[in-house]
Amino acid sequence: MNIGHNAAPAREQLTAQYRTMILIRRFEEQAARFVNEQKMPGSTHTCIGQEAIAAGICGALQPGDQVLTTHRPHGHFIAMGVDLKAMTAELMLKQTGINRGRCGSMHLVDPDHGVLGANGVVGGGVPLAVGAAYAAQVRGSGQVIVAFFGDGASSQGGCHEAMNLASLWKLPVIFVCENNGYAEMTPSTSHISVSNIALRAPGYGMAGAHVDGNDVLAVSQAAAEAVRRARAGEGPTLIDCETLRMRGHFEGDPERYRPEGQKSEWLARDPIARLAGVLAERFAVAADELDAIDREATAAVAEAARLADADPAATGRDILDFVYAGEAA
Amino acid sequence: MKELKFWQAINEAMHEEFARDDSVTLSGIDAGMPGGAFSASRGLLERFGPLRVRDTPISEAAIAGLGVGAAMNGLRPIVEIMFMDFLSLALEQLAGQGAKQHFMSAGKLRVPLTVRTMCAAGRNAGPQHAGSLESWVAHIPGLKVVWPSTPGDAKGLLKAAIRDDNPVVVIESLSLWTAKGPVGGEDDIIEIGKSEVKRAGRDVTLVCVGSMVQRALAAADALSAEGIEVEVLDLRTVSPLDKDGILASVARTHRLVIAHDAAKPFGFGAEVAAIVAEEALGELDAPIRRVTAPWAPLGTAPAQELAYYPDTDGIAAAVRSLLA
Amino acid sequence: MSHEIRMPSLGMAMDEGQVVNWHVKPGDTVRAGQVVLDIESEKTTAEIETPVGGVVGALLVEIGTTVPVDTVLVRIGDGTGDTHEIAAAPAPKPAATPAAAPAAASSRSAASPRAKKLAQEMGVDLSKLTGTGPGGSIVEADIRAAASKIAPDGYVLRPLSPVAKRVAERTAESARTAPHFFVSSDIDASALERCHAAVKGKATINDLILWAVSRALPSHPLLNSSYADDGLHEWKDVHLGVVAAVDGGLVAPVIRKASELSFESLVNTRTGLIGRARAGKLVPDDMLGGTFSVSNLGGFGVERFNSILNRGQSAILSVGAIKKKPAVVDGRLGIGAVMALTLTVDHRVVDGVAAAKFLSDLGTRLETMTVEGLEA
Repeated sequence: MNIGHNAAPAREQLTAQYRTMILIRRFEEQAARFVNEQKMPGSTHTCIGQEAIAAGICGALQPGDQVLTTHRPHGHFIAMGVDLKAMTAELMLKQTGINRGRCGSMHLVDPDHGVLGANGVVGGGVPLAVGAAYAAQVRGSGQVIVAFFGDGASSQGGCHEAMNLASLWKLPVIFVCENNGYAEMTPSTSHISVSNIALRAPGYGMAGAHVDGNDVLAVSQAAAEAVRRARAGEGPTLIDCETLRMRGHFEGDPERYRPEGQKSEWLARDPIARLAGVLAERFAVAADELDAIDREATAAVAEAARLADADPAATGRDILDFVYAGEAA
Repeated sequence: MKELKFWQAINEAMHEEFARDDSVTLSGIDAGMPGGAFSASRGLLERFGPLRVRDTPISEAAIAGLGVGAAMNGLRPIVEIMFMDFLSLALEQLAGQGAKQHFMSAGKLRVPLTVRTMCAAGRNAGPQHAGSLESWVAHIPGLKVVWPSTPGDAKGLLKAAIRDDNPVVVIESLSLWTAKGPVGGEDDIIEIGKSEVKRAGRDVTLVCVGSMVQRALAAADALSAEGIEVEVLDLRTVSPLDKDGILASVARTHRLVIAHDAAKPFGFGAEVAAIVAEEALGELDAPIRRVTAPWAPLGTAPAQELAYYPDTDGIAAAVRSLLA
Repeated sequence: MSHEIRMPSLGMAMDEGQVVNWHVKPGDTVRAGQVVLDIESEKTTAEIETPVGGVVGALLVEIGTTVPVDTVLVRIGDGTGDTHEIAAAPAPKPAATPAAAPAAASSRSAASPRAKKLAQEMGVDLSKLTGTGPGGSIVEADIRAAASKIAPDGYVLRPLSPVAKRVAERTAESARTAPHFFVSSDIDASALERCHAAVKGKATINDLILWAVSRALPSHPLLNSSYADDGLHEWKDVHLGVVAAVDGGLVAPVIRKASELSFESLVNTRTGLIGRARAGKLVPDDMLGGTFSVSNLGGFGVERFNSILNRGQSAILSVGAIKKKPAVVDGRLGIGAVMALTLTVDHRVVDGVAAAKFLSDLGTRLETMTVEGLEA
């Protein structure tokens, strides 16, 4: 779905984004429950509170564009249109999962919907995105590649190298930092030498933007500009989206490191609530309509889980498959 | 058959593969305009243009990630890591990412990447530039590692690596750079995973790869004058090892020596010895011997290099010790 | 560094030799020229000296074992360290060898996996072996050598000496390859007997026969030739092999250039050869290059027999005993001295006619032999 650059957002477009965001929210809430119920083995990282970034950035892309994401990927996958049941099955490590149950949350991949992969290595996807963007440039495909990463990842050596290279070669890549204030369990102020990551953009010779990551309209606008720039061959953009991770680093994280009152402050800035407000105020969308969307999302997520739960688990023997690709060119 | 120098064979392989397939690209430090730090990519930029042939910054992690990511999005890229010691800087992208994409995606993604890297052992390059580190990359499921010993093998293996749909590390020995030899034609591909008996013999199997093969053949010649006939088995591919080739040779000779420039502990000699001990113990008429570098980083001085790397005499002595 | 003492090659035809006796043990210090071991090979024995002084290493071949020429038998170390080697491959050092030396006395040496497997398959008892492998280990070659000595139940084993083994092999080969053709003739031996009486004590009847053969052969070059792939080799000289029985079998030492020797020289040569043969002291040159042989079983009372050709020769004369038999003497029945001569020829070289001509010629010479003629 494409929000036109500088065009006023249309009711349908914003409603669609609301749908995406609420779907992400309900999916993540269910995932959090399943982790507690031992239905999702392995590490799961939810993005509750950060939905506007996924919806806003991915909403600016076209089919064929690609995304590299992080260990906190579910929102990006949903925003790119992945099949809910296949993704749920993967989180449950079933044979019918997108990765045949061998990966789980951190390594989800869905090339058919443009997601070249989540990544269990902090910052691991950023150099890959630059590579994919180089391929787009050589092939003249017109693709735009998005690299999501967190504020913690921005300190990885590979990320700095990748950004320098992307800028040098004017590659069609957008670097999106989901700056949620925490890198693992320490606050970003102990990780990052500048107050926001967008300040680094001029240092790499590339365009930068610093937005409120919980305002989907602001994110969409920044995304549209970055996409235009990339497709026009003007090079990469670094977008720093400020947000707050509303749950622990991982499900089960006791979060002893959060200061008092922080959470309640951010609940007031919940991106979904804010979009609901905009829809009501500017487009007279009734609460009923939003409730209906909510109920649909909840049902879809539950149905996906119900179907996935019935599928067989991935087998031990399965790990010998796909170590090497079979044929040569 | 025409004769080329080793580096010319590499150059010709790339020219042919670039011409054959538009999706082949080359990126690396000094790979483009200077034609390669050691001339291996001479002429490619002029012939195929700056989209496909690129000089990169000194950013091994980004270079490796560039290769993996581009391979995931439809190219058949070649990237260069100038000295194999710097593979350490590229290993997260190569081993942590590239080697696993096909596996993690259960076959949806492929990484048809070629990583060309140089082993400068034997050229006084010093402790940080002369490592033989094939074991680092040989131990990664999902990667392949080849190491040619002749111009013909270099051309055939590099072409095979480029056409392979998996990430393949191609090790090129600087000490072989100007060695001459016959090379094959456009469609002469050497199968990855197949060793070659470079010299048949009945008394001992001598397993080696890359620049060691020359020394092994010289030792075999010297020993022949003493009535000892050595079979020199050139692995050509370090990973996957040609287990059948190794076992067949030992079944003929009943004695095994492995020679490599890497330090003895955890070198690939240990893997070859273990395979033979596990699967063909009854064939052995003598203990297995490894002739290797010692457990130390390398010195730069010529005398230190001489003391460090196995030489013809050392190899010959190891062979003789098995025949008492 | 160490000096290797290997099984020598004595004579062109020698492929292998047997270790008969060791004069040293591992760890002994020896000086240059000292005898280290005895070997037996190719119808002769020899003492082997070390050309260098030093310390004796492991005795790599046990007494009684036959090994190919060039096999290392023992090393004499100079006491210095090993040559340059990066890998710690242990070359045989004097310190290591005492472990191997008592192997013959102690229960067992280490055996290679292949040796163990073969020992089991071939029924060899490892505990009885000394190893020739690295560090004195028992290796495949040791198992195979030992297995060749093992016999199944039912008979007493009489091992063949190298002498006997060699003769057996050569005999079989000769019988297989050359088409043997026999021509026989009984001659009147009375002239022979008269000559013998005249030279008795100084020469034997067989010497007279040798003399006659040496004079007859030059006129019959085919009988002094050999069959080869490229054609017949017609030897320029007559080198007469004299078959003699010694301990352990037959030997055929050679009287060289017999046709050029005087009778006296021929006898002396023959005496010397047979003497050395009986004492086991023939040297390689004694045995080489025979072009025609004479075998005489008359001393055992044998009347007539057909010899098998010696390898490389196209004819051999078998001489029987002189028997008193009824004969026509001066037109009347009387008692004659009859000696049977049988000539074996290689029919590829000598056909029946050539054989007959030679035999006839020889018979005439023997029947008309005079003492005066011997001095000619």
